[in-house]
Amino acid sequence: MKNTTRLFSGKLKVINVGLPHFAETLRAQGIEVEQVDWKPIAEGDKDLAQLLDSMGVDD
Amino acid sequence: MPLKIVVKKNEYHDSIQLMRISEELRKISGVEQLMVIMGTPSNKHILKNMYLTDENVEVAGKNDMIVAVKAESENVLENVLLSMEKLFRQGEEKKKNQRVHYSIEAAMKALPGANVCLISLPGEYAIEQAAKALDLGLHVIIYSDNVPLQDDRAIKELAKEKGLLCMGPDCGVVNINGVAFLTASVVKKGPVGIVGASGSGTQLIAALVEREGLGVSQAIGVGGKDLKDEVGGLSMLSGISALENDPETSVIVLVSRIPGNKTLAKILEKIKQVKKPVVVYFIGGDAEIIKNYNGVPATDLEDAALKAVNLVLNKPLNKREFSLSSADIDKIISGETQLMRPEQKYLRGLYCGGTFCDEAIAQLQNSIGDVFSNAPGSGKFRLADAYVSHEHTVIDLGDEEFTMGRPHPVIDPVPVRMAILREGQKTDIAVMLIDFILGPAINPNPVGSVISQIKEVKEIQRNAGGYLSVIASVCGTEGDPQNLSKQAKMLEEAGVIVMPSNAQAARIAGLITKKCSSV
Repeated sequence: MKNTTRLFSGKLKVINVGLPHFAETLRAQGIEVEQVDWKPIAEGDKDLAQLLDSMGVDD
Repeated sequence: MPLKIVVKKNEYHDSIQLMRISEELRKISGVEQLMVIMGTPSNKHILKNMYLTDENVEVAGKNDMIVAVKAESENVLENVLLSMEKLFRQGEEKKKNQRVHYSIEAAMKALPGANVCLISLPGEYAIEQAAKALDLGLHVIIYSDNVPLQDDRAIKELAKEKGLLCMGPDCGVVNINGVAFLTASVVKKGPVGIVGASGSGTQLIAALVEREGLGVSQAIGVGGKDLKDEVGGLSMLSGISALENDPETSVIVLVSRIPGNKTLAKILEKIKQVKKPVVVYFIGGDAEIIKNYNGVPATDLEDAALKAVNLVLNKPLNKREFSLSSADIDKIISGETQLMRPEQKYLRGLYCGGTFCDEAIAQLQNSIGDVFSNAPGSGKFRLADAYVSHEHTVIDLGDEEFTMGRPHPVIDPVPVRMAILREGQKTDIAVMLIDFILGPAINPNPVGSVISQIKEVKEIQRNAGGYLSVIASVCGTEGDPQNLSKQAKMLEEAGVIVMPSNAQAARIAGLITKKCSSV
């Protein structure tokens, strides 16, 4: 449980993946947040996404 | 009135951005109705109910954006579409001025020492990102729902292997180090730790602990499905260990729907080993078995909070049925029923909080018996269609079928407004039971957003020679930005009976319904 002890006693620093709204709420409470702007790879086309993945195309 | 529907294929925008854009566009003069939403089944259902649909909407997919507008003229429609494009461009400009990254790794380079990754993506994409985050050493909080159970389990096994917390999927309430994540309330720090497979349950216990004068060390959300046997309580077990080792936590509270049998056995064994007192509220669970494993069983969320506080303060563990006296309760019941028509006999519960919905169903057993619901575990009382109520019905408007591709109703109240109007006008409805939830990430005015609809249905029933009793509770703290007292006052001024907890609201609603049913 070392990791949670460290978490509970340390400073929170958050990576937010998805709705920016939740990052804004954390920043309003004084928390440092970095935002990851995410959209479905290949515009949600799963077959194309798998193809891109097999070609090693990064998201 | 002209209707324009535009479907933009493969144009994804997050649900909160679309909610805000929709709100802005509705302010344009001449707009009668408007929705800009993604083409998920629940959103298409809303469009159908609003008569904002056509064959293009029917075939739209979940990654397609639908713009549906009814306005007084073609000019207004054109104005709306131009304004919408402008709002999207402004959003893109705003993004350019803010630092954003395109991967978790890149974000971590910009934030050395990052320790938590918060994920709110469509369910099917959330787990892959969560796995990346755990591999990079981050604790994860996963808001996303609609995640298959096997994936729920797999990500938690990975977290366990890494010695990290996996809070979710389907987790909406977390308080870590005094910080409110997602839709949590702002709660003072104190000695009560909570581990909850229940957003609203965790939130209300935390709020009531604060109301009783103490605070919360950590509130670890584990996700709504954690205690199913397919997932095995992995996050709850980690959460209990974390609080056991936390010097700031004196008492631990667990809250969940009733666990699967195998999972219950594991949790009970864990409780028995823990040296700190553990208060347990498993809705519909067996109190005796919890006592046999040295746990302290609670009968409802308020009771769980009170017991936790009294354990810290070394006070007796008394149960509170109602905060008001019996005489005052009788007076309310009498006042609420005296003007009802004879055919008014059913109750409707409209809930944003899933656990509040479950708790209400459990509490109502004592007065009106079984009620229909869309909540899982309703057995033979499960509604065939969540939009079609039957006799006494309690609906969880935050259930996955309502939230795919749209914000939770605590953020976007459209489904709540629609439900109030749909149910409140029915001639056989006597009582409406509603919850309100506050918090920094939540609708800035939950009561104000639906008060017109509440007044409208009360007026409709009054004009029909009857009376609609509306009972509510407000879950929040003094630290929440919506101002708890003002929200409650707005309800009271509209003739709503506001009770101090969801359980008390359900209890009095049941007694009022029982009385008018028996007349």
